[in-house]
Amino acid sequence: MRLDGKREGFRQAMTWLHTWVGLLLGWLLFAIFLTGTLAFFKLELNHWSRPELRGLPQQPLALTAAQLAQVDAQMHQWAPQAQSWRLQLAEQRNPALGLGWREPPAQPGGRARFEQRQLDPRSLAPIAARETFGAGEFFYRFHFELRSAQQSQWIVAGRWLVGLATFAMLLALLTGIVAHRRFFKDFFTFRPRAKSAQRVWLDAHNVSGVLVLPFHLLITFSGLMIFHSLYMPAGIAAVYGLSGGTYFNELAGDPLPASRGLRPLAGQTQALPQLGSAQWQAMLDQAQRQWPGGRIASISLLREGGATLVEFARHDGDRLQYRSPRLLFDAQTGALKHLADTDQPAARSYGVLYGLHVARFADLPLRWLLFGLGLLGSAMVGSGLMLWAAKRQAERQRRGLREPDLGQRLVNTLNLGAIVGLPIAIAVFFHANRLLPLGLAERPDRELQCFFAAWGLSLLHAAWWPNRRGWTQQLALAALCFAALPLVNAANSGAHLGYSLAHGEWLLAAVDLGFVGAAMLLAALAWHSARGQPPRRVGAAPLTLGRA
Amino acid sequence: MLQSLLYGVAAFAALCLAMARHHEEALGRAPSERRSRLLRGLALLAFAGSCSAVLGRADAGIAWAAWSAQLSLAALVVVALASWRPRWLPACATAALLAAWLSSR
Repeated sequence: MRLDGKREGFRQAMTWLHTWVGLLLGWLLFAIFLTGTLAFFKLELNHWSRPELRGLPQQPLALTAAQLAQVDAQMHQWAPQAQSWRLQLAEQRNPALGLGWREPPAQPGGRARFEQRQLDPRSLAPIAARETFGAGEFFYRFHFELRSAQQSQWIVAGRWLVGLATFAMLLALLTGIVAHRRFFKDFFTFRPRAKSAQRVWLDAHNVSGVLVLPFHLLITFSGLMIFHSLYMPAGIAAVYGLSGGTYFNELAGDPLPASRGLRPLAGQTQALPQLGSAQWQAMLDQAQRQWPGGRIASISLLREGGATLVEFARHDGDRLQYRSPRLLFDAQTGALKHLADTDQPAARSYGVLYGLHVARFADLPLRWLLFGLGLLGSAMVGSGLMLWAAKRQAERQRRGLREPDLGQRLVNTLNLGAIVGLPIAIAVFFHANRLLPLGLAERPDRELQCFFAAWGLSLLHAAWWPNRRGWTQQLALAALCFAALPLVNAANSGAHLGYSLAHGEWLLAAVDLGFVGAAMLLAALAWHSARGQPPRRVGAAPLTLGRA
Repeated sequence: MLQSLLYGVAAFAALCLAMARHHEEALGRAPSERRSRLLRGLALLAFAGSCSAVLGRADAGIAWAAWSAQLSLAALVVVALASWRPRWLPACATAALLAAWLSSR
């Protein structure tokens, strides 16, 4: 788009689009990418958030029918009114059992209260874990709906905004391929010691984009597809009617609504039946016959449409396609009613894309690899933002202008607030999880408030010092915040490195060691930023981190 | 799965060395036309080897997903070598190829 009305080539047009789409949504995209990357370790981070769950067997034990009957009996004591419950089984990434149910609302029309308890998989005794949003859960929720509170009214708006950003990401990727003039020629080129900062950022942007392009394209496209029904409801409504209910049934190959068991029929208050050990054993046997060698993720007892059902859900990690199949039994007779699964081509394609995005199938090495690729995706977005600033500054310097103009100042502020402010906020969230008083009312919401307050303060600081000094200070602060986490953890909970390493609890140890790694990375960046500071020239310090 | 990663490193290293600039940085002179072609052919073979490590696996979908992620890792390893230690590239590529070949036997 040229103001002087001259003709421009296809590549120039695409470059223009790439630059501005990338800049305008880059700050949000960086946050989406980074929190999504952390969400690859959702269960591990959730486990770290509840240090009371330490000391459980690290290899999951098989659940027996007697234990199931015990949980069932326990539920009748804890919540005789509950119309459904779900037992999340222990697995390698999460050593505790999770028992969840909904208490019926205190008065008709009120909101049902969701209750969750963690159980020791050996004794089934409840473990009193702290009230927390769960770090993994929060990053996961922020990643796709910008969650800001437990009961946020902005969830749908957040999903729309993330969808818009994801679409912009897809556009930026495709236009970026066109805009990159020497895609194959510079395939292996990275010159960290180049003279100009612009060159270094361009190389970093190219390398982190091109080499990991299959991952970027896949994660962006699948992310967009997951909420297709939100963005494009008209097609579904035209074929399936306005409520669209059966569309989702067909997509999942499941005759029951996804919200089964959550909305009991009006006036239904009699207690759920209590099943004996023999009944549980019969159903467990059937599930094992159906899924030889498969893992069971959860077992539920629920009421749907007047029938009482038992549901066995297979582990999502057993195959690429998401979600995993479910077996439904009649709770009274123990007879298998149906297998909820789909092998329809379109539905399977959707399931495979979904599965690739959430990567439940990934074993530990692959999970770390995907985590690394996600970090590179964040680096691609971040380096693109830095490139815009470096380019603009180089242009102005060529024209002999020293002081940054307003637009540049704004971009520098947002770059600093987005790229370094977010890691600070993430570290502060972990600190809040350990340091907020355990009896605090609405503690999960307070954790989130700490996160957003830290981010806001970083942005204010960045507005004051949108220059190299600001970068150095914030990077150093972020490094300190992460480095302090293992220490705060040691002072505050028993689940510290000394404990976890001695007991081989790698789930906990890896998170603490990850903090150390993050601190070292941020400290190296801070050192780089400080070293590049030109002596005796504070006002017009260049804003880039490369070796200028 | 380590095998397909090693083959991937060898393949990307060969592709990289087939380019004049990287060849010069690694070995001190530009490659002949014939050597460039040879390296590209070798890269193709190594990519085939990397695929063969995945073929025939029961969980094919998951294996291919892992394979494509590993290919990115392999390319990153080669770029890191080419940027910081270009002279190590030929030796590392040969070692990767040998290790991959030995582990497939």
